[in-house]
Amino acid sequence: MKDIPQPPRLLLSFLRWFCHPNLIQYVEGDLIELYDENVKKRGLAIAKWLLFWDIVKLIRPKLIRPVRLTQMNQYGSIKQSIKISVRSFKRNKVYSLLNVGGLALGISSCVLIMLWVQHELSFDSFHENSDRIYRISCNSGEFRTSLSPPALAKALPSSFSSIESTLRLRSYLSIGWYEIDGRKFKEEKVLTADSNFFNFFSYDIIQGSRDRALDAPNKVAISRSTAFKFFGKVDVIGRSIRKDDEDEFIISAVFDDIPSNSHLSFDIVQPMSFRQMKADYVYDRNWSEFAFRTYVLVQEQASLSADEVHRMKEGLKSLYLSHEPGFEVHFNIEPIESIHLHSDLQFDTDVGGNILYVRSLISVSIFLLLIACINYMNLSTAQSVQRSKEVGLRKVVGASRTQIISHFFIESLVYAGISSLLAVGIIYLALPFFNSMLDMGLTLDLTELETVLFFLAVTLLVGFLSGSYPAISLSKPSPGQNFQKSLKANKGRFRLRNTLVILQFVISIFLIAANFIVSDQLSLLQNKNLGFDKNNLLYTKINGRLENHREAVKNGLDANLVTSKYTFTSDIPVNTAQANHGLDWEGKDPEFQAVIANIGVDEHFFEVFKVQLAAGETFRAEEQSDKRVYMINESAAKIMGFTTETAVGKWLDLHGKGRIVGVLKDFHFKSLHMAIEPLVLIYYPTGNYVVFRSNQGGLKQTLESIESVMLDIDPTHEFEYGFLDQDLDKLYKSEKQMSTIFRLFALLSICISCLGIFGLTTFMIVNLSKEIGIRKVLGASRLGLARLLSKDFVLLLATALLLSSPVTFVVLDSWLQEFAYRITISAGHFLYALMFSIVLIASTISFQLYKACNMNPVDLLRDE
Amino acid sequence: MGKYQLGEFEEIVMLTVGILHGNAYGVSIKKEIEVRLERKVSVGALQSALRRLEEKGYLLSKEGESTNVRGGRPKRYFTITNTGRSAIEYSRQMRNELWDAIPKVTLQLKKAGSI
Repeated sequence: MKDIPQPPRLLLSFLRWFCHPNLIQYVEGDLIELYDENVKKRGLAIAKWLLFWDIVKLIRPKLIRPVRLTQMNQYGSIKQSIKISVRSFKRNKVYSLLNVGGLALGISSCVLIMLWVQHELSFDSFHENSDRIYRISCNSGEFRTSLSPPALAKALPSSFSSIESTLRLRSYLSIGWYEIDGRKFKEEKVLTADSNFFNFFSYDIIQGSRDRALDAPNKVAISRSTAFKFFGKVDVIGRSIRKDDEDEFIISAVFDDIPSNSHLSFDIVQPMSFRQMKADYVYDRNWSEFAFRTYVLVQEQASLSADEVHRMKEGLKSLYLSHEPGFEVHFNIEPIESIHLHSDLQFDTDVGGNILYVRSLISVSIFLLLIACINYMNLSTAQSVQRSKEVGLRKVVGASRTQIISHFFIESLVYAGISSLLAVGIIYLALPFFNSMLDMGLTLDLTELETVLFFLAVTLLVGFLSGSYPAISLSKPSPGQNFQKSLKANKGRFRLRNTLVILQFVISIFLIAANFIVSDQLSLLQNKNLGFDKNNLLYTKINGRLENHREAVKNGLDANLVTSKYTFTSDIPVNTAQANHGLDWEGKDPEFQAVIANIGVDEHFFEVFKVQLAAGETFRAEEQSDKRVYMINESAAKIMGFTTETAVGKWLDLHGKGRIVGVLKDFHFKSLHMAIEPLVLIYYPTGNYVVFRSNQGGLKQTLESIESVMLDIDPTHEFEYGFLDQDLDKLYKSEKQMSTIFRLFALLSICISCLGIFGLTTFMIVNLSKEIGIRKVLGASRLGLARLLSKDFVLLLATALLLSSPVTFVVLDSWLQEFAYRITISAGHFLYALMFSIVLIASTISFQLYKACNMNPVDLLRDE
Repeated sequence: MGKYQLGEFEEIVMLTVGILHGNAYGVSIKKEIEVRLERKVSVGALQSALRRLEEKGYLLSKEGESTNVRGGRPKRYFTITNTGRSAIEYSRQMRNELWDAIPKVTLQLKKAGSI
């Protein structure tokens, strides 16, 4: 019978677990007999399955182990457990505070992160039909954007039966000057939308009618706070306001301020029909202006399966081709709820959300909780020497193992409960700080059921997780062992504890190393040579009356030495909003399609921005304004099929045919997430932006001079300005936020780990006190002793480094892939992390070690 | 069946224990039923029936010798008690009485109908 394999042990132990003890032998015997037979007759695999089913079918009321309900009322024992927990809490104040502190820090950071995560995940879910609203985006080659032509929305419902209605927004926000009773306000968040805007989206209307808010060109809806700003009250329906000195609007609705979890953010909504009156083309028939955003609401029944989405994309493509032959655009549809976290498009309304960040922060919060729980486990087993007598006595008096286990669970739950309460306090204190760091408005609302439930869940989880190990390990030994003088830490327990410590170190080193890498990457972004000198550049916009007095402005600026270095441009390079596909050039392959960004500049651009010329020459002031001239950057030359040298002199057609006079060296005119894109520069001396280069340290003076020049010409002019380097920094706002959060929580994780290490060292020294004493008597040096005691930690740390390095590398490398320009992860990052943790850990344990090494051997060896 | 409670499957098990006469334990009962009645019997169903019958006092069990064949586990042999005997006899008698009570015509009609 030797050749017959044993039945799977797991199944049998499962059987033993549930089966009635009186029956188990016979049942097991029967099963094994049948199993052996089946193995012979039908083969091993089938026999195992049959055994499995037989065992499952044995789960019957008659056959299972009787459920013991010895004491129905557990009140007394629970009360006693809680009392004992509180007493032991008081007795070991240091341990208890370390425990509670660690847990409270863990819980509060977990909840803080979850608040943020919840905010990120809740984007646009407040719309009534949020699961049916999709946005149409498009791409041509690498150029992906959420813009679409205006006629598309009108053609959709008749082309696709699943589309119920559509909504258009004109580009995104514009700026408007509003005049109310003689006072002027500048509003930067003006949205232009179709008249069904408030029916399509569920933004709250607090005054006026939802249906009729935008149904005439002279109607306008404003937000609650704008109403307060304009009139000092919200009851303002029917009041008229004047925009940009020319148009009268009647306020038709007041809506509640837009929540921070909306991908659109605006203060004023004006009707599309108003913009149409000013436009030189008919929106509903235009297929070439990609300056609108199109949203669709699909039918209730039409769930958009992958197939359906694919069909719709193809349909959109052919629909577009049928109206605009020759230009191939790929369309895509994205659910509105995923725009914030999953969409990564140019010229988008909402930037910064990234699912990667959400995922990594969720893992960080889990890590933190885990570290805190491990701490608790380590600290409470460290107390096992003291606790074992208590356990022993309980056993002698007749406590069952289950009761002892439940006692430890109750104790850990008490700790978790206290920590949670403390965590609530910590969160309330930390939230304002957290909010200001992240520039957000998160709140902790304890009246909300979900929040309370989440807290309860975390508390229970922490309680059970951290109580599990002490409960099992401390309840194990027999009463005799409990009373033995020195409880030898048995091998298994020691190994498990070491594993836990390694896990803590792995997580900590991961977080620290990640931190170093993230901040290196950020400083690369901030200090990378952009190809132009971003420092000391400031800009202002020419608008209002100044537009008609351009010469006067020029003369005024030229007259002052500080302001003499300036250039007129059509856009600030950082937010070049112009991109065009109707571009033609000499020798262009007719099949080739490219969307190329362009900017209009005058002859001073090159001197002010300090960009380098690669070939040819720059624009000259004598250039005739009716004769078009162009410059391109190296990337543009490349995709046009020229070399730097051959490009000069070729013709190019953007808004009219003209010669390429020069090629510029590539410079970064967009975020460093993207590689340098092709750029065409047009000679355009009447741009609306003026960019100044001020002298080092002379920014303030320059600013004042510019203001006085402008005010001289137009006293009513509101002087607005910006700094280019600040604008550039804003492009990396979400990365900066992330790195702040990351740094904060990495530090926290180290702190919590250190609390644990502190406790462990204490435990170790108590355990080894005899050994230390004897060694001292035999003449061991202090240094030798310290080395002996810290050896373990160094080993653990080294193991942790080995384990965490590959994980860190893989995770962070995938983050870096998001950037076109990135650092390479080097061994240095890990070494820094290692050194950082060594220093922290060393400072944590050194005090304890010092104390132990200086103790009098008599105290250590005396046995009563 | 006021006097003795005996289900259909229980009755089969009782009878099989009787057939096996002294060699009735889990696997042998199961196989016997499976061969004779051509129906599948799960260990679980059999064990719970055996346990019920034992509780009712119809069956008596004793531990057998342990062998190497069953991984060292002993067998549990079942025998019918006197009460058990009365129970199956009662059940048989009740059935016979019921059979006798059916009018002959009905059975003939049934037969004719089924042809």
